[in-house]
Amino acid sequence: MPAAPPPPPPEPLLPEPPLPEPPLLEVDDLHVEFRTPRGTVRAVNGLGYTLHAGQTLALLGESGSGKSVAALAVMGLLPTPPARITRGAVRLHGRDLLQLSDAEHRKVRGTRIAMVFQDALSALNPVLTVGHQLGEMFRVHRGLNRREAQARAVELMDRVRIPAAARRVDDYPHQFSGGMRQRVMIAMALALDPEVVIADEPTTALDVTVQAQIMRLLADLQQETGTGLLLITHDLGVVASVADRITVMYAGRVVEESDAPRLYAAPAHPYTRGLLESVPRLDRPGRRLVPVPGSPPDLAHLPTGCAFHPRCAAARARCAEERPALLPVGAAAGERSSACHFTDEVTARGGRL
Amino acid sequence: MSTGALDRADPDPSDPDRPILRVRGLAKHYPTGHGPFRRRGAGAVRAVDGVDLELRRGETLGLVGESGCGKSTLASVLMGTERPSTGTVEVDGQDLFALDRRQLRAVRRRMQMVLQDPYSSLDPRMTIGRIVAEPLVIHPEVLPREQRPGKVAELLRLVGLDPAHADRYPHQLSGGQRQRVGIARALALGPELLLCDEPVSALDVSVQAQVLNLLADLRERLGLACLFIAHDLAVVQYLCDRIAVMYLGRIVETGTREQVYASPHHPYTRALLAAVPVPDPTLRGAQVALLEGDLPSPADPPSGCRFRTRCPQARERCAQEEPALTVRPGTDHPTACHFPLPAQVPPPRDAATGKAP
Repeated sequence: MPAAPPPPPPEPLLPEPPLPEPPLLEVDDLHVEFRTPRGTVRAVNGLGYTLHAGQTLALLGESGSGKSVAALAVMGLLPTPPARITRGAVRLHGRDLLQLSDAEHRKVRGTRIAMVFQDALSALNPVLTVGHQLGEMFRVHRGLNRREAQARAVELMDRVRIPAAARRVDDYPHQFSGGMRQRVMIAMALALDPEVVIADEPTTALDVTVQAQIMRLLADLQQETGTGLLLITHDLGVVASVADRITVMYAGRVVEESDAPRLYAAPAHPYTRGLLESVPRLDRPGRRLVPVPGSPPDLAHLPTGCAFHPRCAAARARCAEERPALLPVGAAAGERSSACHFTDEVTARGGRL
Repeated sequence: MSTGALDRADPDPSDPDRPILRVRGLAKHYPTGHGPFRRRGAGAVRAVDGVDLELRRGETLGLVGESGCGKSTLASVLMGTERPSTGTVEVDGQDLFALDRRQLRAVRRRMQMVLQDPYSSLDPRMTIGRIVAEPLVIHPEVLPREQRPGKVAELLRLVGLDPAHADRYPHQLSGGQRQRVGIARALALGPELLLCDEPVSALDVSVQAQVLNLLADLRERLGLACLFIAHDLAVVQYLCDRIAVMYLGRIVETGTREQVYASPHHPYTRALLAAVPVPDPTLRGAQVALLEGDLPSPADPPSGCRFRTRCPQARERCAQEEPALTVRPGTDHPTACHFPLPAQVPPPRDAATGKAP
């Protein structure tokens, strides 16, 4: 309601963009922990991001950064217990999915938010034909009969460019190659025209030539359908080719958020810079790699202050004491942000320390 | 280099260029006609099907290929854990599969392996110290028993670990630290040849660079020859002097790093390089030609050139005649392609004929 007086901002740190309607998907201050015999593992510690329709947002992080746990929380697929969502909101068009009952969440899943998993072989049922599994989406959610559902399954397989779809629809998952199985997964995710597709490491198990095919397919389909695509990956190369915006995660938090070109040209967080300098690149032969020292943090015993400080070359006393907030970088507020006490120094040196 | 226990025993003075590893006509076929799921007229999976390789002292050879190309089968044959169907593997002139047990033990000391998965390749019930010392227990002739703890500490320091880690168990270490333990174990006997099978592919990017730099340093300091098997072309480019590209059990192209990366002649190599995503968003939209389809079954490889079913420029001859791995006119390194691609940066033209050399 545009005429209503704006309410006072509840969180002074978060700038409120004057959007006429709520964004497609908004994750806000999400906290997820796991109670284990070893102690409480804090997997996600205040994650926030916004995905708009037609946008590709990459959630970039290494193992243990919390990127997959956060995706499962959005999907309502986290096993609770042991997982507990202790704080935060996941809003689809402004409606908090975390407040839904299991039954309500199940209706959202598949129809409005769908997921492509990394390991298609274990995500598909080995004893049912691919056509049966694709058709199930239409039988359960759309009430189609078996023959109609089968026809839609063939259409879907055509759409993800599986050759000879009409013949292969009766094949079982193991009869498909890894790349073709991942196409089936994508077909399944797109079946009910969701508004959001979450792809969790969709090409990590695939060879480079197949990876390139799948990434191109995902990009093409997104263009056609205008869905919001959340791409979860650890691969800086894959991200560069498709993402509009990139959210870099470390120890369950966002450390940097930016559009793709500027993030690669001049990273604003020492961890992002460290990642970029650790990747061997075909286009830069002969360049010596500069690894990030140390190991990823133990999520049961997170470092104080900035979680990255034990591995950071630029760390000072303040970094161990005070957790840096995610703040806008430079003049273009809201376009780029970084969670580092010394962001200005990092960016001033083109991301070098 | 110091006269530490890691020094080479007897470098061959007569011929310093004699290859430390020579593979000739190597094939490994797995018959498919056995067991309860026998198929009629079944043949064999030709995982490795006629491979020649040479590795010289101190050199690092990168073997690249996608899954199913046979690179890991090749590694297990080279380690002697599988016998080849045909062909020979010579380590410093000795045929690995013609040796008796005692001779084989002696040769095994000289070649060691670093495995892919630092989680499953370390015994969870052994301390790090025992894991690293195990090769010395198996080969007691190398070092007197009482010197083992000192040697273990030296090895742990060499790979950048704290000698105090010797009392810990694998689960107490991170993935990168575990892979360092695997490298320390491989170096325990002072090998001349290291076989690395995807040594960094299970590691996170930030840790992967640590292990890559460690391998590069160790190779330099210890003068190790290295066969580096990997699917990641950028990693191989970073570490290797020479490259061999494998497809469906065969080597399709080989040359120095500069030759293969700067001007790949085989269409498969070029497609493989083009498919690697480059971390630079400004290059987005550069539409590269992608390979179509999937790897054919190694149980039933295509006739002629094995790549022809996916090759954008396959012609009739490719289906009939298998191309040999050889240097062809217009190329400067061996390619197994009847119609090798011209160099990407064209070589200077011959002034007299106006033709490319």
